[in-house]
Amino acid sequence: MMAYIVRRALYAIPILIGVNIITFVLFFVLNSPDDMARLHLGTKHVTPEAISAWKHEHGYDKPLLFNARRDGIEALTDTIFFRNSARLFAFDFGLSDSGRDIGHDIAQRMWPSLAIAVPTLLVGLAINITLALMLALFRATYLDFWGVVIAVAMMSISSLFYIIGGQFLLGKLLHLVPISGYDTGAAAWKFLVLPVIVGVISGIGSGVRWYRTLFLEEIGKDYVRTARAKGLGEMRLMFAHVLRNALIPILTGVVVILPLLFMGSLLVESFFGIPGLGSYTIDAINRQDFAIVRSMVFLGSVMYILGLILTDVSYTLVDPRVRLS
Amino acid sequence: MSQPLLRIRNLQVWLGDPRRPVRAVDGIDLDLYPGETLALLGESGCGKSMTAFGVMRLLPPSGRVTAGQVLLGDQDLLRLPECEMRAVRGGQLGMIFQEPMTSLNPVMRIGDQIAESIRLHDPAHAAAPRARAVELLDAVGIPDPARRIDEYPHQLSGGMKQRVMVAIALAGRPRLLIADEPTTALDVTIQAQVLGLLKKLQRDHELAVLLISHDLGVVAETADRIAVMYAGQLVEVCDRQTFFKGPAHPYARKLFSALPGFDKRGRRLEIIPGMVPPLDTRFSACRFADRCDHAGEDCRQQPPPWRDLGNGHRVRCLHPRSGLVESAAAASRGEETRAAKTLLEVRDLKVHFPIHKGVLRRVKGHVKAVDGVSLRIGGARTLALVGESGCGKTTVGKGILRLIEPSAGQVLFDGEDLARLSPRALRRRRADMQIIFQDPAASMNPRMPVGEIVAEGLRAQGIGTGREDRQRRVARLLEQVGLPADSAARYPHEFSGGQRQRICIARALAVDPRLIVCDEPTSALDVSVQAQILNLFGELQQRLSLSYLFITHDISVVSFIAHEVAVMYLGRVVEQGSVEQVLERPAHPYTEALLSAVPVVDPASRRQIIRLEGDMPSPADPPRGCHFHPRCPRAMAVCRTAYPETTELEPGHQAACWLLTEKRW
Amino acid sequence: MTPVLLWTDLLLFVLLGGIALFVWHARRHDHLRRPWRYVAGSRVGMATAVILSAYVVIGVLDSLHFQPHGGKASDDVLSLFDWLVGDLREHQEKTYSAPFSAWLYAKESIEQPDGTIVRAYPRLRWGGAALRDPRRERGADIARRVGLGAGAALLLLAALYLPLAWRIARRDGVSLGAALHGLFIRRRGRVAWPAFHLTMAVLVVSAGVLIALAAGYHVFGTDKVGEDVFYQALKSIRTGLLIGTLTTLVMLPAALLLGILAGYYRGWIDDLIQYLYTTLSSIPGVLLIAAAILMLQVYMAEHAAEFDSLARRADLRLLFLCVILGITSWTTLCRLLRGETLKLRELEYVQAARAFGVRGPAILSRHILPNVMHIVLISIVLDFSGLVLAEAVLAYVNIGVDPTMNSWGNMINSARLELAREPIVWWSLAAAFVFMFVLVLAANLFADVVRDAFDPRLGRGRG
Repeated sequence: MMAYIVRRALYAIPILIGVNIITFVLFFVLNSPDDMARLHLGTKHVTPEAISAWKHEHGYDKPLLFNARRDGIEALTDTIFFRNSARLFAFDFGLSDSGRDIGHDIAQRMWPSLAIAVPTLLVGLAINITLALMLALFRATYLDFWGVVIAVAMMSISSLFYIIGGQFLLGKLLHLVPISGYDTGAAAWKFLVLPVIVGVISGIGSGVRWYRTLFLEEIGKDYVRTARAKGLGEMRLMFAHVLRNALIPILTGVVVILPLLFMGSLLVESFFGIPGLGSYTIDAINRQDFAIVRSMVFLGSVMYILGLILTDVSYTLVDPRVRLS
Repeated sequence: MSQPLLRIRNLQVWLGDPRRPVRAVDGIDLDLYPGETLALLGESGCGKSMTAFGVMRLLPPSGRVTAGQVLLGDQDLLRLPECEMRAVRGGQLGMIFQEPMTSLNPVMRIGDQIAESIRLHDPAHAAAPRARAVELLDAVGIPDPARRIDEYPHQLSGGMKQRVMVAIALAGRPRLLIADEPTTALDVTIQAQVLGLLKKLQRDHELAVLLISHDLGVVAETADRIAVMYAGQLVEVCDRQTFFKGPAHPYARKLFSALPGFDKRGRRLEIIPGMVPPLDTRFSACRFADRCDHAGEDCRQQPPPWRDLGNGHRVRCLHPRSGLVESAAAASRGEETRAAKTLLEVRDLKVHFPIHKGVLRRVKGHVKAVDGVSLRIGGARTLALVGESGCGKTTVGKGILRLIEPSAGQVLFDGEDLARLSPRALRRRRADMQIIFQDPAASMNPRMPVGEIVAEGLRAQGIGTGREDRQRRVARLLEQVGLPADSAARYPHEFSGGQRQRICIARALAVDPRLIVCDEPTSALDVSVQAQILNLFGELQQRLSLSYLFITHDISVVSFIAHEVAVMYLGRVVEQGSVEQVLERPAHPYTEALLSAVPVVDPASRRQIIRLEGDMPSPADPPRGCHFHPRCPRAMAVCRTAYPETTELEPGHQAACWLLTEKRW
Repeated sequence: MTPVLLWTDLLLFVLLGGIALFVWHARRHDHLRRPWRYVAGSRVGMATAVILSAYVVIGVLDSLHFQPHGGKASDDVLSLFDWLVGDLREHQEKTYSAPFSAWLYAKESIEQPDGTIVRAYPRLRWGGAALRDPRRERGADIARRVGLGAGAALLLLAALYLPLAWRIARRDGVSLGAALHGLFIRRRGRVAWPAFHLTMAVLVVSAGVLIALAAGYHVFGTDKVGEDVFYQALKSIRTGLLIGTLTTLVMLPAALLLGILAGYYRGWIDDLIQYLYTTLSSIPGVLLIAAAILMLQVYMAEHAAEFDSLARRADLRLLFLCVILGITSWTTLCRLLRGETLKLRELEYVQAARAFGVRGPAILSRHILPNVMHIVLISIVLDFSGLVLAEAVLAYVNIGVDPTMNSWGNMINSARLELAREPIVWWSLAAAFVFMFVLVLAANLFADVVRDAFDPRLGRGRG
C-alpha cells in the first residue's frame, strides 16, 4: 500500500506540471505582461517606465518560456514560467500582484471556509442518507414516488434561488440570523447557520436521489435474497446488509471532495460575505490577480489528486475485497 | 409411510404484467417426506426455481402467489403473517442458491453471516453464536474453521462459499432444505464434494431436501424421488429406480435420449423439436403435444389428466411409455478411424501474464495461465481440451488464434508457425481458423442484423464479389446451419439461445475455415438444445472435413464428440490420448478423479468417487513439484520436488505423473 | 433586410441537422427505435417532450437573425422572434414597474393639469395605458383579457382537435365524446398520446392567456431600464438552450474519440489520454473558466475593431463560454467511455471480429461506437440541466455570458442587487427562476425517462 501511495504521489508531479503549463498558457497567450501592468497601474500613471518598473518588481520582465540569452539550464529556469511555477511545488506561493503574502492569506482564510464546508457536508450527508434510506424502505409506494418527484423538483431549482430565498426568509423577514458577514472566534456561529442551512437544502435533491438509486441497486442483489432467506426483518436487512454495502460508494464519493473542502465555495462565501478562500478566489478573478489565481489553481489540483489517492486508500478501509498494489 | 413434511397444493405463481401474466408455476401438487430428497427436474424457464421461491415467499417484486397452499406440517405458509413467516424462513426452511459467488454479503465476515441466523433461530446458542458457527463450519467441511470464521467471502473459493451457504442454512436447524441448483456454478470435482456433503448432512440431521436441478446426472446420484417439470407444470412424479429404469412421460424420455455419451458416438443425438411454449398463453391442450412424437389428436383437445401407474408413479400424459429409453436413433454418422494428416501442432505453448508490483511497477512474477502445452490435431478430427475452470484451457484456444499473444512456443498450422507471422500475414491466415464462444448472446453485436454479423468474415477477408454475392453466401450459410432464410434481416435478440449459437457457427463457417476452436459452445444451453448443436457439429465435420479444438468441462460431451482428449490442470496438459485411452484407461490421478466425479445417469456404470480435497491453486503461485500433488490422493515424496516428465504409455497415450515414471524404473 | 448568421446560430442548425439525420437513420433500425418507443410510451416522457419542444421552438425562432435595415454596422441584429413579439420589445418604460402595474415604481415630479407639481407615481407609458382609471378598471380588464386569451386558445384547440376526433370517431365507429376521451384521457396503443395532447392543450391555453395579457400589461413587470421582464425571460431561453446543448456538442468529438481510443488500444495511448484528462479535470473548473473568460475580455477590448456589432461580440463570448465549459466537462464522459470500451473489447463479439482479422478502426466504428452511443446520449441529456443551472452561477461570478446578452443568469445577477430596496423588487428574479425551473425540471424528468430507456442494466424499454 505504501508503494502504491508513493507511486501515485510521483504520478502527480507530471500532472501538476501540466496544470501549471495550462494556466500559464491561458494567462499569457492573449494577455501580455504589458497588459497586466496597465491593468494594475490603473489609468493614470501609465508611462512606459512605470510599466517596466511594475514588470520588474513582479518578475514579469523575463521571457515567458525560453530565455535565449542564458545558457544551459538557465535558458529554461530564468523565465517567468519557471520563476513563478517551480516554487509552487514547495508550496511557496510568493506575493500576490498587489503585494500581499499569498501563503499567509491562505492560511488565514481557510478556516472560515472549513467552518462552513465541514458542517454542510456532515449535516447534508446525515440528512440525505436518512431520507434516501426511508425512500428505499418504502420503495414502490406513494411515499417513494412523491419523494422522488420532490427530489427531482428540488434539484431543478437553481442554487442561487436557495441562497436568495434563504437570505430573504430567514434574514430579512424573520430576522433570525444576519444576512451576511462574519465574525472571529465562537461569535461566528450565527453567521454560519444560514450558509450551512442553504448548502444542505440545495444538496438534498440530487443527494437523496443518488443515494436512493444506490440503495435500490444493492437491494436487488443476491446476497440480500440470502439474508431474507435467513428470516431477517426488513429493518435489520436494510441496516446490516444494504446500508453497509451502499456506504462504500457513498463514503468514497465523499472522500474525493474532502481535501477540496477547504478551498471553500465560491458562491456561498461571496453571497454571505464570508472571508474564506472561495471569496478570496473570486476577488482575485475580478481583480485579475494572476499570482493568486495561479496559486489557487495549483492548490486545487493538488487537493484533487490528494482526493483521488485518499479515495483509493479509503476503499481498502471500507471494502475488504479491495487491496492496493 | 410417515406424514409428509411439506405439502404443496395447487401452487400458482404469476409474474409481471397482471393483464398478461406469465404463469411461471401453474398448479403444482407435491408431497415431501422427512428425510427424503425430492428432485425437481426441468430445463431452464420451466418454473422450478419459482416454485421454490414461492414456497419460501421470496419471489421477486414482480411475482406473486395467486393460488394454492403450502403446508408445513399443518401450517399454511402462504397464510402466515410476514413476521411469523420470518421465523419459519431460515428456521425450519433453509435454502441455498445457485450462485455462491454473489449470494454472500461481500463486506461481512462469514462468521457474522452465520451468527445472524443462529441468533434468529437457535435460542440455545443465541448468546454465544461464535462457537456454534465454528462448529457449523466444521460440519460443512471447511478446514481450519476457527481461522476461516473471520474471513470475508472473497477469500474463499466457490466451493467453500457454497459450504458456507449450507452452514448458514443449517444454523437454523432446518427440517427442510431447498437447494436451488446448488452445484451448477461449480466444477465437477467441487460438485462431487458439495453433493457428498449434502448427502451426509441429510443422513445426520434427517433433513428433507428439495433439490432443484436441470442435470440428470446430479439427480440420479442424489434424489430419492423425482418430479419432472415442464412449462410450469409437473408432468411426472416417481421414485428414482422407476425413473431411471424408464420414465413414462415422452418429455422425460426425450431428456434421456438427448444426453450425449460414449455409446451414442457416431450417431445423431435425439432432439426435441420446437421450443417450450410461452407461459403467458392459456393452455387448452397438452403443453408438450406440439413437440411430442407420440401425440395424437386427443392430446391437442384437452389437458391430459394425471394417470396413476402404481407405486407412487404418476404421469400427466395420455400415452405414457414404459421400458428403458432406447438410445437407438437413426445412425447417420459413420465412425471414421483413418489417421489423419496433422493440421495443427502446438509445441510448448506458453501464455504468461506479468504481475506488476512496487513503486515502479516492475514485473515481479507471472501468472502462468498456460505453461508449456503441446497438442496435435489431425484433419477432420476433434481434440477435446478438458479441465476445470481456471486451468487455462480457454487461454490455450485464444493463444493459438493469437487473440492473446503467446509468450513462447510454436503454433504450427499446416507447417507454418502462426506465433511468428507478421500482422499482415496473420490477417490472411485468419480465414483458416475460427472460434465459437460459450455465450452466444455476447458473441454477437446486439446492434447488427444477423446478415451483417454472418457477413463480417466475408468482408474482412475480402471474400465474395460485391453486396449481392455476399447476401447469397449469407443465405446459403444460414440454410446450412438450419435457420430460415429471412433470419438475415433480424437482430440477435429475436433468436433463442440455440439459434444464436447456430448463427455463430454460420459466421465462423463463412470464411471456409479448416479448424474451429469451440470454447464451451454448449455449456450455456439446455440438454435438448445442446443435442441439436452437437449434431450440427458432427454433420459439419463430416461434410466439410472440419477439425475442432473442443474446449469443455463436460465429460459426456467429450465422450460423444471427441477423437482425442487432452486433460489440463493448472496450465499444463497432464494426460492426453484417444478418447478410449483416456476415458477408459485413465493413467493420471487427476484424470481418474475428474472422471469419477462426473455424475452418471446409469446406475450400473457408476464408479467409486475419488473425492479431491481443496481447490485448484492459483496459477500465479503454482505448487513446487507436480502441480497436482497437494490434492493428489496418491502423492509421494518425489512429487513435491520436481514436475514429472511426460511418459508415453501406449502409442498416442501420454501422461505426466511420477507414478508412471516410477513403474518404468 | 439582410439575414445574419451568427456562429452559435450556425452550430445550432448543425445540431438540429444532426438530430434530423439521426432520426432518419434510427427510423430504419429497430434497435435504435426500441428505446425511443419506450420514451414515447411514458407519460412523463411525452409531457416533458412537449414542454421542451416549446422552449426549443422559441430558441430556434430566436436564432433566425437578420438586420432590418440592410447590414450597416449601426444596424441592430434582430431575430424572427423579436419581430414576432414586436410590441413587447419596444414597450419600454422609464424604470422599474411591478407586474400588471399601471404605475412606475419610483416617484417623480408630475405636472398636474392645473400647473401644480406633485411627487407621485407616474402612469406607465404602456402598462395598463388603455385604462382611464386603473384602480377601478384593472381587475375587470385583466379578467377580460384572460378570458379572451383562453377563449381564443380554446377555439384554436377545438379547430385542431375536433376534426381529428371526428375522423377517429368515424373510423372506429364511436361517438365524438368517446373519441375525445380516447385522445385526452384514456390511452390506447403504446404511445402516451393523451399526455402529449393534454400538455399541448395546457401549453396553448397558457400561451393564449399570456399573449392577451402581455398586449396590455407588463406581465412580469419591467427592469431598471424599463425593459419588459417577460420579454427578457423569453429571450433568455435561447441562451439557456445553447449553453446546455452546444457545450456538449463541442466536447463530444474529443471525448468520444479519446475515450474509445484509450479503452481499445490501451498501452501508451491509454496512458497519454489518461494523463490528459486527469490533468484537465484536476484544475478547478470555475478557475479555468474564469481565467479563459478574463483572457477573452482582454482580447476583445484590445481588438474591438474586429467585432462590428454588440450582437456578434456577445455571440462570440457565448460560443467561447461553451467551448471552455466543454473543456472542463468532457473528462467525465471520456472516462466513462474508456471504462465501457475496456469492457466491450473483451466481449466475445469483438474477439470474434479480431479472429476474422477485422482491423482496429473498423472494429471501433462497427462494434465499439454503436455500443457506447447510449452512454453518450444519456450523458448529453443528463448534462443539459446542469449546464443551464451553471450558466446562472457563472453569470453571478461575472464570468458568464456577455452582460448585454439576455440570460437568466444576467437577470438574476442584476436583480439581486435590488433585493435590498424597500419595498422589494422581486419580479425579475421570480421570472428568471420560474422559466429556468420549468426548463430544468422538464429536462431532468425527460433525462430520467431517456436513461431508463437506454440503460441496458435496467433492462427496460427493450420489449
